[in-house]
Amino acid sequence: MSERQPTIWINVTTSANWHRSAVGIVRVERELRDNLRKLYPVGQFKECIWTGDGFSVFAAGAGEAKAGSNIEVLELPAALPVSYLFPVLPKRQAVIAIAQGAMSLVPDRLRPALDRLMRRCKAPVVQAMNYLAVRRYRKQAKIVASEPHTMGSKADKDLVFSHPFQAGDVLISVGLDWSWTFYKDFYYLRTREKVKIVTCCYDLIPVLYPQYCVGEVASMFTSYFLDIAEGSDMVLCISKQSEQDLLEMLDRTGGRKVKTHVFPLGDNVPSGGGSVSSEVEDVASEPFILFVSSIERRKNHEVLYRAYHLLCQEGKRVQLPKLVFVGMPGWGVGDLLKDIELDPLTKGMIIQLNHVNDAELLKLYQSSLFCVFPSLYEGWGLPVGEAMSLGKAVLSSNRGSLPEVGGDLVCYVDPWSPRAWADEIYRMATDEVWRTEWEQKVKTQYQARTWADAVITVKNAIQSIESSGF
Amino acid sequence: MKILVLCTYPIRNPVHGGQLRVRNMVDTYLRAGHEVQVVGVLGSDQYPPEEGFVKFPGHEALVSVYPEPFLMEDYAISKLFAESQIWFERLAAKVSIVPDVIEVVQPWLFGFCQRYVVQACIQPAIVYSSQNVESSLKERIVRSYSREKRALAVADSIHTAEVAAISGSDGVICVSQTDLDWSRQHSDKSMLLAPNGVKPWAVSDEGNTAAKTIVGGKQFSIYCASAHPPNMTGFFEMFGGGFGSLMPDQSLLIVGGAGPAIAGDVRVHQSAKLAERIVVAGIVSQSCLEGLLDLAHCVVLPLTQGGGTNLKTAEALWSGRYVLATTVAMRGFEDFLGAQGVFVADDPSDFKRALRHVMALAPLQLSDADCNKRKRVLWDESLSLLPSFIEQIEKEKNINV
Repeated sequence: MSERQPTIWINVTTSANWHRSAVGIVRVERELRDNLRKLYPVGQFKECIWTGDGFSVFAAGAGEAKAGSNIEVLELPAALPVSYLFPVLPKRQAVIAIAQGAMSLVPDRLRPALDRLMRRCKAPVVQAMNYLAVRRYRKQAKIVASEPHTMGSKADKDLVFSHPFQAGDVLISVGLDWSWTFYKDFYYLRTREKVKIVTCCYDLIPVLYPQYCVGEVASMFTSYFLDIAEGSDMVLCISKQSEQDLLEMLDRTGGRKVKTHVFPLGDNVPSGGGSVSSEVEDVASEPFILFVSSIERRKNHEVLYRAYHLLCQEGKRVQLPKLVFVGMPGWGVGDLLKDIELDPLTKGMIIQLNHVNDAELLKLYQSSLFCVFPSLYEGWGLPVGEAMSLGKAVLSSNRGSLPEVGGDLVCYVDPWSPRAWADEIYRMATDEVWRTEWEQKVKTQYQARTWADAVITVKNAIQSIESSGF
Repeated sequence: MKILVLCTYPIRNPVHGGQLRVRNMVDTYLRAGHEVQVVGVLGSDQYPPEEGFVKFPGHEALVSVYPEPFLMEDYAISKLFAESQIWFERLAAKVSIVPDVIEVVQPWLFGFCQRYVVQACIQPAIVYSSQNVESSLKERIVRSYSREKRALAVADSIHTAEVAAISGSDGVICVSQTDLDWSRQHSDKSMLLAPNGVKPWAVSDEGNTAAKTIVGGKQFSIYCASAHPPNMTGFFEMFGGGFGSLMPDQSLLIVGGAGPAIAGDVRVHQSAKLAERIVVAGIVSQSCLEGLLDLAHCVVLPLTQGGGTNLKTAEALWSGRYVLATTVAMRGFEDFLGAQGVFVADDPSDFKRALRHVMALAPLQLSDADCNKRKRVLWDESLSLLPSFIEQIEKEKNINV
């Protein structure tokens, strides 16, 4: 009798609930799914989805739709309780989103009044939310404090959720898992049901740099990483930096020393469908510098604005190309965006593009003079790789994992120095020989990382845990 | 020989370390054939009334001699009973023996003692029984709650009282070598090192059943501590900043007054996983505590403050379980450093890593030699030299008189 081949499962809960253009983690989950499927015999690779009370087999139906461009939207079974039209946000983020929505929707003439009203309301709302948070703490504390407590728990119960996995199967779960509850039970799935669990660590930014994140996320994410370390046979890390950050955190907190595997992300820019809008065509018709990233404090758009301000102040505006930000505005950048909007020196020099599709992104990369990436910290830095894969010169911060992506093929600039950015931007923009040298270096030496290659290393890593004992 | 013991807590039903130590000292004297009377002041309104004790004087009375008695009630008591005629007489009236030896536990009633021997026209040997270097301990406690200037002033006042007690006594009993070395700087009189200990126990069926009701079949480490502030400080210093030491099916059981205090502290929710992993047993019966120690895999002693020696360390060592402690917690038990099943870590990360390591070990099986070594922590052993020491001090005093 032949031995049963373990089934390789991938948890596609994140992709299946994502109805917008695929961003970082969603893309990773989908690329892993699509490329791993090609590497395993038919029937050995399956998809599953979290339904709220267990994992179920998931099969993308024939009704797969296209959203905007080439991004497929998986059709969910009607019974799934997780299929909301809009994703559920943490309360604090939701309040911010409501406020942003209101500001965007009211007529221009009413905005100053609404802004005044919101500023007046901000303190009481923050107070109320803090009060709720403290009340939650106290409630938890009361629960813990009511004595005597007993330890009756999962130690003497069965696993609390249903699942289709068999002992020896491998479950790969690389999505936005912290948004759900299932990851907490991976430990029981691993130790009792003998399912091999593979998870992913993208970065430890919420733990290491909570100041750049919404709410008090440091403790929550520390808890998450401690849980997945307990619950995983292997944690995939998207860079050596992320691996090092994870292992240091586990070491510091006494967490389980889990096996890790570094797999650099593919950096081929999707060349898929969607048409290029006239707005993007207009932008691309003139020289410009490109920065692809969501607009948030950690990404450090501010240093670029300040650099532009300095250059304009020095009378170099005429020689400067436009600076194009591609990405959605996020938390904590309201004041910066207002500065950019109102600053007479830089007015018209900095352009924001939002909701660009893959074709537009490709067009922007290809048409740009060069790319910039001044982030204060990264777990990887995909846009740097994408820019290089298209032969572009890049000015990049040297923090976090960025040197792993750029090697010695990008020009590094101190992310805390607007002066340094001003000088390097000006040089790269005006000295064509210098810029061409960097481009040549990239074109001749950069070896693009493909998703197919990345996934082969993942498959090999999975094989190594498949053969290890329980 | 008649021995008068002066202290600021009742000892009939001892709960905290200080009470246990005095109770065991008294029992040791009694077993050696001495007559003992314990007299004192209840240092808190939480203590039950007990024969020989003046009730807690109350805030108003304390304020009359010390304007800011918060965390300094014991010092205010020392001033009140030394300086106020009414309060002095109330306490003096409790003494019903003519003592050959007066043992003053901690410095708080030393002023009273000095005044009493003068007024009673007696010349007993006076022995100062130290439990800590009180001035530095109190400074750290006050510093956690109050401004630095006050902490320094407090330390200064207590230092003066403490040195007066040491230098004004005919002999000093210390709880650890560190304390003895410190005391030696202030007196060349005889000194005895008498570490804290523990009473031997054998787990009863009742204790075993009560313990099993709390822990089920789960593997756990245990922290036994009172709500004394340094116990909380050490706990959060060692387990703050994320707590990954325990697997989801393991727990950290907190027994004693520290449990509710820790669970009600917001810091428990600020350290990832800590709130999830702790289980509060609260104050349990002695038999239940013994049952819990018997079922525990490891006893943790995450203390970073406090002088003297920790009674809970003796208890942990006697339990025969793994002991994971800080150097502070091992003070007075230095000969157990490196012993089988004893782990010491002072850095929070090291402590957390060590806990994970210990929890993964097979249950501790002590060798016969190590079993015997752990017997040294029993009160019978730790206080064995006490009667002869007191007798010698009394003899020397008589010769000098």
